[in-house]
Amino acid sequence: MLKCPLLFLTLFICNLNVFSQNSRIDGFVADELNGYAIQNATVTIMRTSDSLLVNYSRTKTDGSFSFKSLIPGHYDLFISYPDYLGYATDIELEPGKDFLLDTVYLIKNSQLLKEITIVDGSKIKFKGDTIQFLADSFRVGENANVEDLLKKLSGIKVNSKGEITAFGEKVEKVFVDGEEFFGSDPTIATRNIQAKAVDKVQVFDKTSTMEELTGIADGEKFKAINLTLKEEYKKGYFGKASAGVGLDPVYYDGSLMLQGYTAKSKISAYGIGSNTGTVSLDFNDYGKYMNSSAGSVSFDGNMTTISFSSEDDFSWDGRYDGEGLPKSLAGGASFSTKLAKDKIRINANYGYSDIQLKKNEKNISTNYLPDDGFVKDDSQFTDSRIIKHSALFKVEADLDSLTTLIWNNGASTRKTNNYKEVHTRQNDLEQNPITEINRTLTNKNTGNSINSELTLTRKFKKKHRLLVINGSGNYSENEGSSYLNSRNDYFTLNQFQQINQLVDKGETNFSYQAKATYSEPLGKKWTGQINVYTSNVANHSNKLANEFDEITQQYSKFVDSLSNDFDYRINSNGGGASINYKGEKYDFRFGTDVDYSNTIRKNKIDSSSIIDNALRWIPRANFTYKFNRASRISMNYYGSTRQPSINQIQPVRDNSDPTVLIKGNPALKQSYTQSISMYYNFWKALSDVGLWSYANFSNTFNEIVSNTIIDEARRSITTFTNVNGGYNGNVGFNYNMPLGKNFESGFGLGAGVYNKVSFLDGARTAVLTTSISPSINLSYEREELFEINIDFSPSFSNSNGGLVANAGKYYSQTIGSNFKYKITKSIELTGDINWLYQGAQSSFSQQFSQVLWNANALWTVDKAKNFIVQLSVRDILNQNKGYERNVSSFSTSERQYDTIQRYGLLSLIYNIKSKSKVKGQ
Amino acid sequence: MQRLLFLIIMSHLINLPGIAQNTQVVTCGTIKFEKKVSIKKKLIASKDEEDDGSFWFENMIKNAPDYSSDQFILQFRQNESLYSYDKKLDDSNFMTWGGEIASKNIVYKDFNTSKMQSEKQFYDLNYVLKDSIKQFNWKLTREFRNIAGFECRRATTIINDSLYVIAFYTDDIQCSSGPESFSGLPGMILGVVMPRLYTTWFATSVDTYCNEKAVLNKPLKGKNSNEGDLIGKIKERYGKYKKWYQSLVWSLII
Repeated sequence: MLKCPLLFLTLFICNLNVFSQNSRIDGFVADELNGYAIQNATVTIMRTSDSLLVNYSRTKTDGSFSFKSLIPGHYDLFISYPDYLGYATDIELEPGKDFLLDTVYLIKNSQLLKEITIVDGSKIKFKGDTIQFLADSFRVGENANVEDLLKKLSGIKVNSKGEITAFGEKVEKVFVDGEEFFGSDPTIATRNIQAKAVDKVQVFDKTSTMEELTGIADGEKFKAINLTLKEEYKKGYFGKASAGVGLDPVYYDGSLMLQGYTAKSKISAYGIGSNTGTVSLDFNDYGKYMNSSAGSVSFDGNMTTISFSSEDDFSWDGRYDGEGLPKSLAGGASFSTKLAKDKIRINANYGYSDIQLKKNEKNISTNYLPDDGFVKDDSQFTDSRIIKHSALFKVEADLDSLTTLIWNNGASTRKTNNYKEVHTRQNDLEQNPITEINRTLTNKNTGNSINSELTLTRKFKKKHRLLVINGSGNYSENEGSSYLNSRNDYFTLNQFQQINQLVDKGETNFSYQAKATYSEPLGKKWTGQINVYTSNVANHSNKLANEFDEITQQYSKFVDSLSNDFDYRINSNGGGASINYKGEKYDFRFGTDVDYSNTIRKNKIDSSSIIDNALRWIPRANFTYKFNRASRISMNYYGSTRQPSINQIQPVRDNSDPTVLIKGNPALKQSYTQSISMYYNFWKALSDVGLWSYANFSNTFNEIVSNTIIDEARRSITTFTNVNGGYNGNVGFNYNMPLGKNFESGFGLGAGVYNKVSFLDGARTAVLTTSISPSINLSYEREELFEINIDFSPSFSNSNGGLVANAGKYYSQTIGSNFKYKITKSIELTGDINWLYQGAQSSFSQQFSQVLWNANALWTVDKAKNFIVQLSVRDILNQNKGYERNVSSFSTSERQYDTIQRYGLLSLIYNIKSKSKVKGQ
Repeated sequence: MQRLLFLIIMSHLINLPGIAQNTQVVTCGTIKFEKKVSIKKKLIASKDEEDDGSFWFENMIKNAPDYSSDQFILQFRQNESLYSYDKKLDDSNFMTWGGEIASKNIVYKDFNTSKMQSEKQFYDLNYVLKDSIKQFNWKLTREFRNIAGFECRRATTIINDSLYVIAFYTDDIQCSSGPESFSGLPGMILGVVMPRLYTTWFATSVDTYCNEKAVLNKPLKGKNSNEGDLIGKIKERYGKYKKWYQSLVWSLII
């Protein structure tokens, strides 16, 4: 406490008058002990009112310091020197009066500290591999949906079907707040959520669970988009209701989407009813109900999928692809919640859909044979209906900080009804009849399925060490019957056949699999990974065919040759190992999986059986080199073996299409396909110029190809055989650059070469197809007022080696444009035009040209911009003809089908939003 | 008088006997800085509070390292300083898209001419920016903290209208420099905290060995520009994406 009096030595001396209003402070610093001047001591002046650092200085050799031109006011002055006790005083500087601080004597010493804590929030743009767009930064119309928003984001493109491309890659899934939104169809989210509810759009590469956990790229990834919603929209509820109707012909399209939130839970509901093609409810269960989907084995995509295609005429899965006249009614609900401090997360989903499709189509094909040819004229009518229910239940629990358990369950049922009427006539090139077939098929089918999957992920204290154990089981059953009524006339054979039969089919499928994967870090940059798995499939299918008996008036005549009762089992066991390196400049990975499978198939009716053992290996290698932070090249090698499908070895006999017969080949060997692919991209941030390019090549050894013989009655009898020589290569790029402030351009090119080997009438033919298709895209935008986008893509292709002269010399082009114009604050016009042109050629003397023009007028009625009236006209020029033409090396064909043609729709749209909201942030 | 009394008490509080490290003001030497970015917190902050269990994002957070840590070296003399990237300190292989902006900066400051030259990373390119040494409106506090054996006073400022910066400086080092482009305090800045960027720079060691002949020189490679021009160009391109633009600027101006 000796120092106290010392400080009192400092007095206020202010007696010097200077002309300027500003003042100066002068002083000296010395050691208290010996009175020596201290050099380099720090003198700091701080404004008292706000602690602002005003000036600082170091003392000179004589210990003096001086500050000139200080504005009069109240200051704090500090003096400090290493190992000396600091000195502090306050100074009142009066206008025009300078201040002289008497010699300050410092005393040796120093110290003290205080911890600080910092809490604050911030938003960033790039999160890991995710590119994030802040939705509000992009101006879209008041009633814009997410699709409109996406179109605004640089690097993202949305086509007329709603398919999204991000940075040159197709976006497979759109998540909402990280969760799937009513199945995997992105348009449900993008077309039904308002843009203004979206806070952020995150574009990322969805990688496999393993990669997410280990950070080791296994090449299994796809582009995905996540939409995070604004906080204010997550309190209470929001949604959109829309109803539209058009007269002459009558069209309707209605939809309702609602999302409700509480602190820990979320509930959503969705419904549509439409006959304009808004079917799009794919509940991600496609494939589970497919007839004869027996024996589909798939593990992390590593293994060859074994499945047999159905010879059944009906394989429509409920998706609308622009053909026929659809009618749909669908709905769904989803609930998710978090329990136990967010450690348990539960998600439940239910979906329903009822989809009908009626279609008339006509197909005329000219088929060429080495010495002759024939014309097949086919006209058919189909009427199909699918009713589906599906439910999903998922639980995710963090057992401790290192262990996570995920339990996924699904159940669904599906009912299908189909009716089909087909008239087929085959004539020779001189118009003489060869065959005429008239048949009707009526088919009813019911399917149920249930599946469950458990995944346990265990991390360890050691970084990147990881164990994942996964087990799953599936059970599905299918039951159906189909009536076939067919009159087959084979004029050249002088054979006339009448078929009236009933086929009952039944199928059960049970499979289970287990897999364990373990990763171990081997030093800082290396990681090793091993996995083992076992999988079992037990399938039973039977088919009983009975001919109608005129006497008993019942389907009682058993048809041996068309009936079967199969037992089918696949047991496969395998494992693999890989090694990964991740460095600053490059990454690589190589490894292989080996799989041994045992397949047994028994036909209980004719007691025949097939046993097949196969050893397969799947090597893969990947190398990525990073040129700089936004440019890299990546190379992949992937090899895979493919087993002949059971249908190729021992097909299920089927007579539902008498013009096509399949014969098995028990001598088929497995094929091996190798593919090499390369990617290169760069992006220049300031100019926003970017390039994405790729090149890939693959060829197959012992490729399984069809070997078709056309018999006298012009029935195609197809069997399969192994062949070498098939290959496939592609290169392409996408280049984007801005041409001006609001003017963007993109150029692209895709080119391919494809050599296809097959057999026709026993002769090996190789058809080499080359194609090239450049594309140009231009877009211009005047903010909030006007925007236009034009695409031009011509396409040239040429194939050689077939029987059709110049078959593949082919030119086509598409020009598309869409525009938007805001007339007044509340009225907006949008439209798009697409012109498709297919040139004339040797096979088609006439060119085909079609212009599809759609237009919309949108009127926002109220000030809150929640109520909108929309008038839209689709296909204004009524040119949607439902036309398609195909040229192969052996045939040319033209097809015409029903489709939705010109219609107008007057719609009312209402944006629903609860009022009880708190502005976020 | 009461105020004076307060100052006296303060000056006692802050001068408890401590470790005497230097007997005189350091005029020349080398400081190692550890730059730490709280990746996890940055990720968490970038998501909304009620961001539902988005599996990929949760996973990314789970798997993200808590921190990224890099070492920088600041060589200084009385009137110049050179700050440059040295090496990575953590062993994580967490990658960010296109690399972090301005993450391996080199900054040379000449206090005689008040000029500054820096090499900064912006996505695909490096830029060499030639500017005047930045002026900060520092506010001083009465809080102190010991960093690398030096007693440091806490000072704060706000840059770019909204970025809060906390700096700890010691006047035991004469050169008024600091990491990145920070300077303008009555001594060397040994610690910087930028809460909104979830980033800190703290000196881990101060080497007072001074080689007077050593030249503070590191060739800067990149496209010549200055901060104003570069930000102008970024504004031209990204200005319409307001928040993104802001985050780009924030990253660059440090």
